[in-house]
Amino acid sequence: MIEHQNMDHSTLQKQRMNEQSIEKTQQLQSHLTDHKNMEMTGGQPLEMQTEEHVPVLITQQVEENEQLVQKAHTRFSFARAKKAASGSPTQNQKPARKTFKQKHEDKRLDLVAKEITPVADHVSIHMMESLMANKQLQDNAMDLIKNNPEVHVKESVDWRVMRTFMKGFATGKNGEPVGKKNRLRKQENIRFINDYCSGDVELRRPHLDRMLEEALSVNITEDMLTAEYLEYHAGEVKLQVSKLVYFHNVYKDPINQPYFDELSQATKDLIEYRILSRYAPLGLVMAHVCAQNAVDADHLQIKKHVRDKSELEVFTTMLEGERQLLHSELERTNRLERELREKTRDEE
Amino acid sequence: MQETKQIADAPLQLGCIGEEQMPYFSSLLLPEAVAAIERGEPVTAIGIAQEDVACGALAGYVENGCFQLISLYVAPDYRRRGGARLMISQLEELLEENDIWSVEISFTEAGQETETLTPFLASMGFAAEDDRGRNIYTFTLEEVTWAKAPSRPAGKSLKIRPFSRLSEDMLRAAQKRAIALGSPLPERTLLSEQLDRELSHAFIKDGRVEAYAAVDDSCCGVLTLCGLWVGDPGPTVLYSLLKTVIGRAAELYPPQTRIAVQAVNDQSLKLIRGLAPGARKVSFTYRHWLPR
Repeated sequence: MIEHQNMDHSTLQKQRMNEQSIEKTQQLQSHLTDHKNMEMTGGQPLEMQTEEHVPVLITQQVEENEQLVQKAHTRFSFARAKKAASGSPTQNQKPARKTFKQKHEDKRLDLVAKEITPVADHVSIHMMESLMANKQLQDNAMDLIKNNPEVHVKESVDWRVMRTFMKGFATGKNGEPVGKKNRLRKQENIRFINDYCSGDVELRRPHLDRMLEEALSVNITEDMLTAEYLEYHAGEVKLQVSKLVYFHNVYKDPINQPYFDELSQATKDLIEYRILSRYAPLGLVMAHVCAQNAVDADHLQIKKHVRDKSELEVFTTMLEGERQLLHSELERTNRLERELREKTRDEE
Repeated sequence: MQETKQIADAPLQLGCIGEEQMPYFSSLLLPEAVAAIERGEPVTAIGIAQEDVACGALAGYVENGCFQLISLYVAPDYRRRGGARLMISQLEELLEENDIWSVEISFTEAGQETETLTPFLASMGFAAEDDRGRNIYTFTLEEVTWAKAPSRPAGKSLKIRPFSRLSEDMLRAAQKRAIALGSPLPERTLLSEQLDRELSHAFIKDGRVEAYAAVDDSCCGVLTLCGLWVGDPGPTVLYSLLKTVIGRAAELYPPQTRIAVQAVNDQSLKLIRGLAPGARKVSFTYRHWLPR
């Protein structure tokens, strides 16, 4: 302030413009940092690439067609006719395709992806977007452990379990949950952390009930483990697979043993069929479908070290066998579950 | 008879179709091609005439290095005279000169009109493309089987409602979201008057449409599932949605009624096969790779 008083007006204006420029640069850097974690750009934010590429792609297509029409007019004379023969083609619905805009957006994302590695494309980008969106929700939840005075961690726990079974919530610019639903989720998470990290199985009990129900409710079918489905749903599917994977850790935790010992045999069997037998083959197929599209779903990054499509073919080969194994395992465990349910119904 | 033979023997004249030629050739082009030309879009259009009678036309545009043939037609009285062959071969020469090395055509069966198209395309060197199952299939109501329903948590009933009970805002938002998530643009919007609003149904969750099945009669005049989208909910909801729609159709129509459904990915193809193993593919894509 004292410095400003000694400056004339024009110098002051220049200083203010510099400050604004610095602020804008900082905002842009922050924006770049957000996207940098996705390793999606060669340094340019996605939005700048949108502005540059879409009009270019549309213009290119229009120009190409205009040139072709001109060449046709040069090559052929104009058709001559004085009347038309009778008859007209029938307009039948053709298979719907993506819109022009969707296809160009895919093409733009292909270019963005290929800046990272030539083997990635718009599918890789969409998968990453889905994975990162889900990660953000979970990050918000995990931040509670670091930054909240209401949270008391007494015992060390497997944080991967906490991350998976905490309820993700969306936050606003101020870092606080947005809306009643997200505020409720935050409170539930605080309770979960405090109870689970107490080391007391009785305090853990209601949370173990919830975690068990969530893991048993996971219903991933084989056709969800395709590139087409995972393109837009990789985040949700990963979370579901994680519930199965980390429930295994919950199950093996000695503190939780008394809880699991008290469960009925039918429930223990269901745990075996729906969770413990499935998490490995499901996780493997999902990871390798993502890998086929140059996405490392565990470390949430595009595989930039892969430079040739042939390096991804190994996943295609592995997937053939892994899908068969998964199919057999799902068939086996579905049959066992059906038999168990029938047996339970008969006994009742 | 002699006069007919003389006309038949008269040479076919091939030329471009520009604005001035449109009045004579527009009836020989599909409405979408005519509309594109009238909007001033750069569509390549070629026509043939015999004795000053416009008798055939084709139109298309280049996309991603491939020429998309959007209209190809020769009037019935002028067939078997080499007209279509002439147009395609001249088009392909033009494309080769401009470094465009493939031609693609997609169509849906339309009875007699398309019966001769497939062998003709084959004779011109076109081969059927693997659309990865993204085709239109037809089956009758009586062919539908409900043997395998995906399992879902017991006790959860799904909120599925006909379009007639939903607001325009909800449907508009659903369509926007579906397209944003990569769903192909349907021929009709969800607010179109051509939709059957009693047969078309949507799955509602938290006051929002999360999945929908829209029905009209756009394909070949049969009941057509013209729009099907399931966002997050997954296969269970898709199955229930289709079951509701087809169940309602069975209440309103006789068992021999045909239904047309487009498969847009492996999941929907599998579902169609599961619903009606005898479902018949009626849409096709053919492509010709030009020799370099």
